[in-house]
Amino acid sequence: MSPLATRADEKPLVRIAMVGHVDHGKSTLIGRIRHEMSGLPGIASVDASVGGNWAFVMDQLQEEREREMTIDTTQTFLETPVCRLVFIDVPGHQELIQNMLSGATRADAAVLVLAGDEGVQVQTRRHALLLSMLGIRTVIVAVNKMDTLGRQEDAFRRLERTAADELRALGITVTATIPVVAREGDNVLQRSPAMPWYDGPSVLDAIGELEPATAPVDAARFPVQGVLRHDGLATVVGRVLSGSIAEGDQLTVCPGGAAVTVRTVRRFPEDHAAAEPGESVGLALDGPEPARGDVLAPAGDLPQITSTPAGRVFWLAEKPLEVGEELALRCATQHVTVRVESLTDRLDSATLEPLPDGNALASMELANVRMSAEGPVVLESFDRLAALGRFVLERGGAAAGFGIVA
Amino acid sequence: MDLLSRMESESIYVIREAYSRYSRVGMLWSMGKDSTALLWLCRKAFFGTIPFPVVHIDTSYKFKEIYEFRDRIAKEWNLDLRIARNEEALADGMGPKKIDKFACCNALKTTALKQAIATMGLEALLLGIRRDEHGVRAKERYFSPRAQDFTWNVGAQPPELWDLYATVDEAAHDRIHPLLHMTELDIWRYVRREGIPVNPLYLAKDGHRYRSIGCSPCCMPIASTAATVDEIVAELESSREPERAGRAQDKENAFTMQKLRSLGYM
Repeated sequence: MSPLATRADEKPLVRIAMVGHVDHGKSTLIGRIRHEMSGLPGIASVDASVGGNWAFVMDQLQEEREREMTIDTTQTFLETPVCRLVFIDVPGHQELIQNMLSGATRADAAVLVLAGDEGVQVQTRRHALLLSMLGIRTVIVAVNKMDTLGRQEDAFRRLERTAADELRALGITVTATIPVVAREGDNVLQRSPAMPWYDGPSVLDAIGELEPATAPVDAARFPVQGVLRHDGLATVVGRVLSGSIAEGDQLTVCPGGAAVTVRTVRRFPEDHAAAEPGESVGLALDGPEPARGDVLAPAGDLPQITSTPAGRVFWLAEKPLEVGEELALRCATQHVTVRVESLTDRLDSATLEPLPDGNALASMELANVRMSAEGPVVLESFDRLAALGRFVLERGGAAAGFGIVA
Repeated sequence: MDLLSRMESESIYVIREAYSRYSRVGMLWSMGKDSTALLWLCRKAFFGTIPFPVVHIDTSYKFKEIYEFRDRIAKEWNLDLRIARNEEALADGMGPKKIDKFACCNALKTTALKQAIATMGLEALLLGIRRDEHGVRAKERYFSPRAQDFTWNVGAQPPELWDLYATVDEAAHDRIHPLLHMTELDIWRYVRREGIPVNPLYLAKDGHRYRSIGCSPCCMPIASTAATVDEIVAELESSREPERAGRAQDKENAFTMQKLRSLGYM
């Protein structure tokens, strides 16, 4: 359904990351969408300082405007009569990949922007690879700057094929490829009369056709954030990742294995209904008290518990990761010291080509990393339950890389 | 869960993350709709008893309705309220007309906040800012480390992946922003659903109301007939004006907000 159609009862919210190579027009496309929608009720007009440079809608820092380049990720919020859209702009520059990830890890869907005059470039590939790691496996491709190709169909079809081939190799399905001139608004909200040969959706319509993702796990998973005692009652707090938790439920504290029973589901004001997936609640338990980092789960369907966690890791920090290095692994509320045991299947994220075996992983490289942990770690495969299947590796409290559990 | 409940759970998760990971936490309360919603969320996160101080940075130029609202709610909700003022600057006559608005905000808000953080020894400070308020605030993180001199280096923020919020070792204190994902309309819908008390300045009287409140010399009311929360929601669903249109601070210079924030403004 078009995001501009008539009112529905419960508006879905879609968070869309705009990704792609530097200067291919990500900020300009969001700015143009924002500008064209600003005639609608509830949507403020873009501020006058933008002056027709649509990228400035998103690029609000002085240095971003002076250099005409996005430095930090940013978001804009649009509410139409039928849905809510959050556009997440990210920098295209490779030095700023950490800012790209700060934005993209918040997205449900993505538009990959490709400039017609340059085609697939290093950061197009790298961003696509990262999307696939982050679990965003359907994307919309916007072939921007079609004016530099004379708005001609042949050139567009060649780029459409190249992009589809490259993305398929990463396990990504393209839902629509759209010829666009973001600066002038061609095929952004409305079909462009200047490209009569194109009969597909506009960018906004393609976004309206995206299907929401569903969570496959139904067993309860409750990572413990902490135990509150400030009001005289020991209350275990956290967020239900999957399944539901009701009073009387018997759960196992992972990784320790102790059995506990839910005495009370605590909320304010008081409400004892079963806790739903995604809900932050408190639990008063009977049995041994769990601690931050533990995961509560039903005895019949426990997550993986391992002292040798492993995953596909993308390295961010300038200083390479080396075999033998000790760092902190964080997953849900767990914080565990790990030692890197091996790095295999290294890949260059610029070319997507394999790299020779080695004992170090440089910035922007990927590898399968096997670790030994100081204690047991609770995990799931990423495809089963994303929030327990992804981790960050920290040095000095800052993320130096992230990984996905196969 | 519906969308407002999902947003509420996300905010409560962030609030409890801050409390679990820092021993000295405080919250900034300006008595506006956002920080009052944040205060409500803190009550929910801690089952009605907020276990940390609630700080009001008092410039002395606030509307009288703001002071009345503060004292009433602080009593009703049994808050550990702390009032922080830059007494030296106030004694020296600082105000929006003394030099300019930038200097005034910096002295009476940022410097007062610095003094409060130092006096109270706070490691983490919860604030009710939202991404959709302003283009510079849109670049914030949920956990945002600040250096000893309070500066915010917006171009070089540490990565924040998913909800694995980082607490960087070298940070002097962390700003925690549990409402980042909520829009102005979300806040009003949440206020309506939860029955959160509303400062009367937001409700239209004689054809005008305040959409954003702060210091009385620097806030202008908008033309409006919205005299109830329901009417505010309906008004915003059809408005085309940006939220901070009545805030003088944003208008002085295109990058005033960026400069204020890089120096530690909220």
